[in-house]
Amino acid sequence: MLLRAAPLTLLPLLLFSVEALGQVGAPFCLGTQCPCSNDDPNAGCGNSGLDGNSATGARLFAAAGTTNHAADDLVLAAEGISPQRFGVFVAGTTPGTATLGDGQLCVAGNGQQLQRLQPQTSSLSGTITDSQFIQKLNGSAVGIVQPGTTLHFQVFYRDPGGPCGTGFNLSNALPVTFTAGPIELDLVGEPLALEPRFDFVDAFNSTETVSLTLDPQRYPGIANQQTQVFITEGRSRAEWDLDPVLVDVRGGASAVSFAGADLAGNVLSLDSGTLAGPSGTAISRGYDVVVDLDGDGLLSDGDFVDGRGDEHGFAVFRDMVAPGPYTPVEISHDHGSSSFHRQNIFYPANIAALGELPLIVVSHGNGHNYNWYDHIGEHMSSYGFIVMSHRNNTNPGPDSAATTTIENTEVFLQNLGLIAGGVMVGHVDRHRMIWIGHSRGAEGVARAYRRLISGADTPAQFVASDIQLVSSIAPTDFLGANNNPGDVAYQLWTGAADDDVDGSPASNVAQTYHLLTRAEGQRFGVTYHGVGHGAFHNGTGSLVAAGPCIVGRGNTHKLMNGYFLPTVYNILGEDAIAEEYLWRKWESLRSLGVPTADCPDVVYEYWNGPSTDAFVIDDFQTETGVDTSSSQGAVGGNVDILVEARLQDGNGNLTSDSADPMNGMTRNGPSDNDRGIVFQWTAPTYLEFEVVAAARNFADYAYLSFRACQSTRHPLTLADLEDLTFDVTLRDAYGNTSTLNIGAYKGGITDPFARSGNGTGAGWSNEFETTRVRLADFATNHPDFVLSDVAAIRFEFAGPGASPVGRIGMDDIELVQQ
Amino acid sequence: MRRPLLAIVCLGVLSATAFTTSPALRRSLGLQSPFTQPTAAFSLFAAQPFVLEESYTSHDRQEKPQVNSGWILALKVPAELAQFRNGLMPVLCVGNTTAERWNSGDGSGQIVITVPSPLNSDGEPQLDLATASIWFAEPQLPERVNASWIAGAQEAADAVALTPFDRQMLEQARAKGGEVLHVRNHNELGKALSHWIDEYAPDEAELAESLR
Repeated sequence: MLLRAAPLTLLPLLLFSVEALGQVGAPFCLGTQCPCSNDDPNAGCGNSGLDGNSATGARLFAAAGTTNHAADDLVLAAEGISPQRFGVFVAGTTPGTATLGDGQLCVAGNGQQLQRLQPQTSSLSGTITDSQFIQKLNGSAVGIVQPGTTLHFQVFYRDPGGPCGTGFNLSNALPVTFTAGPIELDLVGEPLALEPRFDFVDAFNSTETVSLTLDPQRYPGIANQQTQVFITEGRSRAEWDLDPVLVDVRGGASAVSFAGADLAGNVLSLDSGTLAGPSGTAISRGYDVVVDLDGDGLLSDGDFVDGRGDEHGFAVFRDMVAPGPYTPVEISHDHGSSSFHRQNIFYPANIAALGELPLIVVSHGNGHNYNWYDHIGEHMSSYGFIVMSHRNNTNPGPDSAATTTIENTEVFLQNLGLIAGGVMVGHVDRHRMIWIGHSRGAEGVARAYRRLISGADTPAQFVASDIQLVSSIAPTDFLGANNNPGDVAYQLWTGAADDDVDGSPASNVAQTYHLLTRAEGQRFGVTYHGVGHGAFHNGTGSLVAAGPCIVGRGNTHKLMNGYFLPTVYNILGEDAIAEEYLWRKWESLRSLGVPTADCPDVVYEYWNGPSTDAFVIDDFQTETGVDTSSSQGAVGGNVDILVEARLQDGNGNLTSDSADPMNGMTRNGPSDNDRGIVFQWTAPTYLEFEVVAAARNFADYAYLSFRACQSTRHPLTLADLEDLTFDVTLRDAYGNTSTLNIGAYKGGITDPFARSGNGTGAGWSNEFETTRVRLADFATNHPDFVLSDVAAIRFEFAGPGASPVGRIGMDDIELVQQ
Repeated sequence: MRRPLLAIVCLGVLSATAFTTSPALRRSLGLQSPFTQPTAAFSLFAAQPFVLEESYTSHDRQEKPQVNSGWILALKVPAELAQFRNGLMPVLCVGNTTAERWNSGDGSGQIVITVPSPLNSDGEPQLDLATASIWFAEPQLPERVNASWIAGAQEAADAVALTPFDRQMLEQARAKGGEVLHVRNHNELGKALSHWIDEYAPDEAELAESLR
């Protein structure tokens, strides 16, 4: 039952825990009263440094990890130092102040209880990092370091040519209090055949095996430890604090030994699909996982835990294609005044016993019928939603359809007492509504939302913020920017076999991707190979489909249910982990119950909302030359025929043509300017993006995300017609590299739908697909790699195990949070 | 057919550059329909005036007129032009206004439409079917169509010598349609039209049922 929930308290799963960050105190010893007026109030005293500006100094900050004493994974970094200069971290038990060199020494001012760590050389980007402070400092001049100990850190470094002439300087200082408690980290996932050998994921279908691993290279203390692993019912942080007793849901914990030399060698199967699934209308059941290292049967200091926070360690999802627990009731209602105010309504039979339920409004397309969406109505009402599908005035155009959507939402909310004897009175959650439309109706719902936020329409019963999701199935694009759904969560459905809104560049109106490109909030889309325009509804007649491998209505509706249900639960804040069904590759995660044959292929695109903390390496919207990224970094490489331009087919047909480098791109209406790149390779080549200083701490982010598509009908696409893969290499500021193949996570860049027409050859419009590579995976098995100081991202092609040839488009290379 | 085929062909060729669509234009229009030039309705089965107690807003032209009377017509038209698509479709015009479509005619080519028109002093719609052509004009969204656009479309129709239905067909259609239909509002009009759809497009029974 989807009763109104409190706002999500689930926090992003960052490499820092909030609790731990709270123990890294405020910087002190900032650059005031410096020896030669070389003040910098934001860092240490001014230096020659990286920028040659004596008004800026070196800044010491927590770059990654936690202050957990047992984890010993805190990484501190100082930036703003000249490249390749000697430097050393110093730690002391007390703060102090003394002029030293061009700066100030602010730890253990009397020289007592001060410990120097091993000297280092600053990176090419002028950064020095250090870590494993417990191991290095415990028992040194600072004494015993235990939970509760506070140490003060600072970096001493050479600075020839510095402003005061002494040749050396210091950063600001940073106090750190090491904390007790369990070590919070990702433990659960599934093994992979390739590096990084393990995928730390949270979503599992109820029949899937749940595995665990721990990396002894990161946590040496676990090597050869024999201990127990508990799977517990998911608890919130408050619940764990209240009750740390470990109770395994399987009846007993797993006895394990971490005898492997590395992460891959310590992969352990915890459950082979026997865990209980969710109950009621929940789509998942959350669990936490604890490695009880001290064997005390409690979640305690030094134990490893995945899920101590409010987001569970992992979740087991039900078959989301199967109906929910409630019996749907279907009624027709005629509001009496207009022929367009007729509605087909679904609600749970036991609605009287339920609270306020979210409302889904369905707006059909031109030539469709409001009675043709039973598959949405029955399915969603069985999970505790109210669904209202209305007759839609689509023939005049999408603006009129938008009017009908707004009017029907209004009359439904206004007249609840007159519908079905008032059974829904008090049971409609007016603040959690979803608009989903089809075709002209799909453009209509986006247009309707635009009219709400622009103030053009001011219905009495609801406001724009009551609409939580706008979802468009095969939308037309007649209205251009006037159908931009703005910052609402926006979902797009595309059938690659659609023979009405066919997606061909021959028609600017019939290209579905425009609205997704235009949307400004959290946005995501799916493209189904083999699905036609008429398969999205359950009316009679043609599937309005063209191409091979046509998917029937029954299977299409299974695909829809398996995608729409986790979408809605996630957007409404009911299930945070369900988000994985929106972006993980089809080959990696899909609901139980969806068709699993080779056909259809399914392609996902996903963007976090703009409110999340992301850094765009290159979205190609600015710095439109191929040698500079939109983040101002240098771009270089030796891929063939690299073109940066507007992502739009140049001649309206799909025939491969060297004069039309953007062949098959359909991301832009006439007034749009979404840009990207295309290129190709026939031998080992690369494309490298410099990471600018502002974004070099990749430990601040969860994933490297980008979108890519294969170029339809191109000879190099046809030469290797399957999912395409390539390598991603990160290079840190010290020259260390770490490489992962995107195929490691299952799937790759899907080959085009082999539909003929609109030119010679087979292959339809280009299908961009989001790929996310977990950034922490680059550090797995590469302990020397400095994730907090990454200098470059290099995409490498035709390497061992990767696609030998190919031509792709690429866009939106970003660092994103979970 | 009441039009000389030769005249249609000749004038159609003369006006081809003006009324056929190039690939670039088709792309800009989002044009997928088989429209090539203004094309007349084949025949008129029935015509009946209607009058509403409560007016409604018509969205089938840009001016969004308030409507409380007009014609109900049952027509035979080229099915390939009538078929509902979600890209641009040819606009069905009746004289100086646009038709409101109530069914697809998919396959049968038989459609039921309403045509807004004020009543004259005799209680009949002012729109004179004896002088008004009924034709598919070039593809456009009806909500973007205004009087000026319709006038241009009329000129294009005249250029290919489209003409109104002859008197005999009109008289038969009027006799078939019956006296003025008086209903309360747009919703009641839809219910009445559901029976027209039953009669003239029986394979769209599900649509008809959904209007009742």
